[in-house]
Order: sequence, then structure tokens, then C-alpha cells
Amino acid sequence: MVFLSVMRQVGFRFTGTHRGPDKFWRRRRFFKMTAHFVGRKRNCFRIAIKYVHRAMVFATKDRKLRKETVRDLWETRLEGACMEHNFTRKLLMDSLSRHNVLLNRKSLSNLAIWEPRTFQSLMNIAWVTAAQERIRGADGLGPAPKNVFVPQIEDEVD
Amino acid sequence: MQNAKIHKNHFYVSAPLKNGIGRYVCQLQRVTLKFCKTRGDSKGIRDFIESYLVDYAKSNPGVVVYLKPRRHRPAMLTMEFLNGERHELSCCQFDGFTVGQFLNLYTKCSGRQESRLINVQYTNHPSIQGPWTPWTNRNPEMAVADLIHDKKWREMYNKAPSATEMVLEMFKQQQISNQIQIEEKQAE
Repeated sequence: MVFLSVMRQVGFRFTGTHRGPDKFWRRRRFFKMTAHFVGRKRNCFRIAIKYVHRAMVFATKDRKLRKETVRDLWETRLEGACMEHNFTRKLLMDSLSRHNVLLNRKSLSNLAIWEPRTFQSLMNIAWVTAAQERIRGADGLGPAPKNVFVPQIEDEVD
Repeated sequence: MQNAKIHKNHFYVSAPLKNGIGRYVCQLQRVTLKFCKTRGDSKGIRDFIESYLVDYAKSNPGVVVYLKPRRHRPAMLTMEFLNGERHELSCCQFDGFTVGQFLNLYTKCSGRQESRLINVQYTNHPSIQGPWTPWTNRNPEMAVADLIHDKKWREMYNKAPSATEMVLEMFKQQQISNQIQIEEKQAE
């Protein structure tokens, strides 16, 4: 054909020449990520591509944020669990660490949900420790629970 | 695959049909090695057939091995599993040892599709003591407690006087003050 260069300049849409690999598969790579979107952003490529890029950026940024959010959730749950017994989360964490009970927020909040009696026992230990060691904030709580044996914390020998 | 199915392709850790708890059954049914006798792509798979294949077949008697020499065709490994799944692996440019490594991998697979592991932890019994409910730490006596008339509960929860008591108190005071006025008048 004589005017091949002209035809190439005009572009794919008007000539129907196949420029590169089948675009169906390239676009399918992105549509896999839009299955849970709503509306045209799920099925129309030129609209979807913008939202897919944003979704990927959010996913990258929120990996750090998720850790913070979930940690806040654990802390809120612990605070709620302690408030039921008129105790405080800070005292719980402080007192348990003095006995070298190194349960983290995740474990403690799981116990509070799934094993509430165990959590109550741990909290009783913390309460009695807080009263014995006279930790700040333990005064205004009310009487410590009875029948709880807590070993004395030995001071570290330097 | 439908877009919706992509996100449903997940599983918790489990052995399909509890394989291995009693007798372990190898889930790989048959393996077909397709190769060309002359093409360069198939060099690795030809090396594997010469050196490692017989040992593999002897050590895995439950797996049936087929060889398909096809002229001018690329090297392929087709795995078929007991649950009907089929997996094809292109072995072009592979090393003989690499082919063996992949074969060993598939021998240990269940035929389940590649899916996303949700969590390494799983349990059917998350709670022994019973999960927390809003009534876990509540006193069950509160269901039948008389917060107004019972002295025990009055002291704890309801120290302020009720309206009836206030009115009665006002009446008493009124009576007393009336009595005082009467006595004062009589004194005069």
C-alpha cells in the first residue's frame, strides 16, 4: 500500500491495525482488582484505572496505619474490660509487667473476650499488686479484691 | 475466572479429606512429560528422563508416569490429581534437576487450586470459659432485685429519698410545725 506512513500516523482506531499484545489480558490484570468496586469503575477500563491506582496507594499507606488502628482497638477493648470491674488499663499493664507477666495488648484483649474469668484473675493480681506497691492511681479505685495471693516483688539487687 | 471468584479463593489451614491423619494417600495421580527429542528447550527434561526419572518412579509407586515425545513441540509437564484438577507447567529451558524439583513439589500437593491462606491459626473452639456477654460480669440477683424497698440495694444504688418518702417527710415536718404553733399559742 502506498500511504502506509500516513495510515500509521492516523492510529489504531481508524485503521484497525493490531499494535501490540492483546489488550484484553492487560486490562484483565486491573479488573481483577476492581471486583468489589461499584458502578462503572468496576467494568470500564479508563475509569477503573484511576481508582485502581488510588486503591493501591491507599493499600501501601495503610499497612502502617492498620497496625496503629488495631493497636488502638486493643487498647479500647482493654479499657472497656477493666472499666467493668472499676479498674484501669494503665494500672493493669503496669502491675502485670512488674510481675514479668509480658502479655501484650493483643493477648490480653483476646482473653478479655474469649476467657473472661482468666482476664478477671489477671486483673485481680494487678489490682492487689497496685495496692501493695502503692502505684499512682490505685488509691481512688476502691477496695482491692479479696482472697488473691500475690508474691512480693523483690527489689533488684544492684 | 470470574472477578467475584478471585476474592473467594481463600482457605484456612486444613488437610483435604483429613489426609494423613490415618493413612496418607499421594494426591498426584499421573504425570505426563511432553518433550522433543531434538529441540534445545527440552534438554533439561531429557536429562531428567535419563538420570532421575526411574528413581522418581520407583520411589513414588502411586504416581503413573507417561512420556510423550512430540516433534518440534515445547517441553511440558502435566500433573493430574485425584480430585480431577490438572496443572500444566512449561519446562522450556529448565535444568534437569529443576524439573525434578518441580515434580517433587507437585507430588506433595493436594489437587486444590492455588488459594490465599487467610490465617495460619484456626480453631473450632475459640472459647473454653464461654465468650464475654453483657451479662458475664453482672450480678444475676439484679434480675429480681427490688431497688426501692430492699435496704441492701438502697444502700448501694439508690441512696436519695424517693418522691413518696419526700412527701411523707414533708407531711411529718408540717405536722411537727403545726404542733409547735399550737403549743406556742397555748403557752401565750
